[in-house]
Amino acid sequence: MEHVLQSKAHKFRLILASSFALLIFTFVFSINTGASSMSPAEVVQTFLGNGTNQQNLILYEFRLPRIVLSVLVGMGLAVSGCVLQSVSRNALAEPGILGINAGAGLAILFFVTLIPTGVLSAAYFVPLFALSGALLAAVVIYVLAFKRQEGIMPTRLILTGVAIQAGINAAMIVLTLRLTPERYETVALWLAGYIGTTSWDYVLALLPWMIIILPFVYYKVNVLNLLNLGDQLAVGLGVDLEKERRLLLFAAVCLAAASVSVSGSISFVGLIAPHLARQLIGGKHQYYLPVAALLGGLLVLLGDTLGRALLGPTEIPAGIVVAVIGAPYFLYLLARSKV
Amino acid sequence: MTTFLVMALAFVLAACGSSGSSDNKDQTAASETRVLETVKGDVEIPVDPQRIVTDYYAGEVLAVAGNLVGADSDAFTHPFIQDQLQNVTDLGTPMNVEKIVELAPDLIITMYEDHYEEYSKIAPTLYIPWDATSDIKSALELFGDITGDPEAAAAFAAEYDQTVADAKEQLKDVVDENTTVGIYELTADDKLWVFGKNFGRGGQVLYDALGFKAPEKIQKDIMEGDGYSEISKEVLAEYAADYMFMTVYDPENTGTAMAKLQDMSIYKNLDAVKNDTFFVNDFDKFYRYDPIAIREQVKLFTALFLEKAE
Repeated sequence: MEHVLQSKAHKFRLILASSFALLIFTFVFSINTGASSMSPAEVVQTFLGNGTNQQNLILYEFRLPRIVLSVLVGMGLAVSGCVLQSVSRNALAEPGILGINAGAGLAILFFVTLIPTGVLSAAYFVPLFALSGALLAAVVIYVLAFKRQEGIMPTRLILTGVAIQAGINAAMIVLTLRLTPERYETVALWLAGYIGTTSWDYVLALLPWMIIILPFVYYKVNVLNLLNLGDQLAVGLGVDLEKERRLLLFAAVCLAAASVSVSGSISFVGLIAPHLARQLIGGKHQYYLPVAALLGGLLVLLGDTLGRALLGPTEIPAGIVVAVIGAPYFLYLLARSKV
Repeated sequence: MTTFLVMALAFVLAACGSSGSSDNKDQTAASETRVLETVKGDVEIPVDPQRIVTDYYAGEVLAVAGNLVGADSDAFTHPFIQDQLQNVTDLGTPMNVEKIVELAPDLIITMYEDHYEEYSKIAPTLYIPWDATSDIKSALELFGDITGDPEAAAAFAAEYDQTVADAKEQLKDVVDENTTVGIYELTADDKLWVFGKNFGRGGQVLYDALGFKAPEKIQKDIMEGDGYSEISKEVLAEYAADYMFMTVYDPENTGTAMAKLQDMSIYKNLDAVKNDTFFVNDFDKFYRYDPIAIREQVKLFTALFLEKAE
């Protein structure tokens, strides 16, 4: 038994280290990729402080914040997906499917439509708007899925989420019809998951959410493990089921909302990163959460980097690249599963 | 209209002369700057910008002979400025910031507020919302001032007036002055829109320059309303005009929406269809409303009217 545990921990370290190495590799690749051709030597020189003004501008103001943002967003979405999948005990759960992205999107649409340009600083207020929209959607879904005797039924949570999402999407289409062209562009790009307008402001706006919530979720790994066992067993083992569910749901919503508010609606990451991680290391949350987070960051960074590199000078939104990579993998997973 | 007034106020352009060239003989005119008051606060721009980058406003900048070095991809589908884009770099849509940095612009003009902060890091940036001007003259004036070349703007305006005068002269005995015209757009997803005069599609040409009237229904519901509106195909007859100009927004060129409309009795019974005064116009040529596009549209519309009169 001890031997098994040791080898599991060993495998975990190995996988964690290799995911991290992959992330670093992609980071280096991304730093060297862009519409402006900077050779690796020039990149190094710029980092050493010997860059021209132009090179400094490109690297420090445009490429780096975008890379950091991609990684943070990927981590947030992946962990949010992990939590939602465990809480709902449904392998298909992710922020997008549960209507949380849609709620955030609707709120952002309201922001773009109703707030006169330039009144509020977009970087800091868009996440708050997104969060309120996502929370509102989550609360509505939670209330609708709640039954007094049974509490939250995971299946009902998913179904309600899908229904709410459809309703919100319809409302969004009606609202977008009335937008001026310049504001329509903002919304269309957001919907496609575009990490384009970046600055350190966005990183700073996102960072606090990550710093607070990611450790909190990790602190709850044992609860998540118990939730996976099924409601009755979890209650039997002393988990205050509804309270923990609410807390974890709240954390997942915050992570997803903060992420999509800066990156737009990137789906699939919250679905695929947890699946991949679980295949690699199994379902114990203390192992699989960190791996999923790294893989999520890797996936979005890869998506955004490829989106920047493929069709210059016009970029492909990261959300679309991730979907192009993610959809076939997901179909493969489905084909392999015995369900 | 209110937006326009607000913009006009906000864009009261304060030309504050040069800052620091008098005592330094080495400084060239290109490095002189002045302060422009905008909705985004004061922006210090070159008096005589040499390297202008813009999304959306390529036609405006070229009309006032601005030194355009980079533009978004849409400019490269603009049918009337292709020969002037030979040395202009396609920056993508939305414009790629790294490509902009490489071009080393000294002035960026953007319609997208989202990108204002990013662009401002690269060069002095002016944010000009899409409805900042409401007609060709004010557009020329605004951009002539921005590029520091009001003479070029005035020259274009004079040439435009001449083009309009020529057109009116040619149409004088051909089209009755009480003729009504209407502008319509069909989209690939079967939606039908009616436009007033300030949304491209030749509105300024027909209603301002050539002085035609809109049918009463369009005048009341559209022109005195939002300026554009979606209508149901069933009421198209109520919005009919003597001359009807339709553009079709059909990016994939399927042609099905138009075919469907032409199959409807509502369409077939329109007087304009029976009289052969219903025109389907090329989208790329007609939807723009920069000075160059408008000038060319005057000629295109004149040709259409003359053709029918023969």
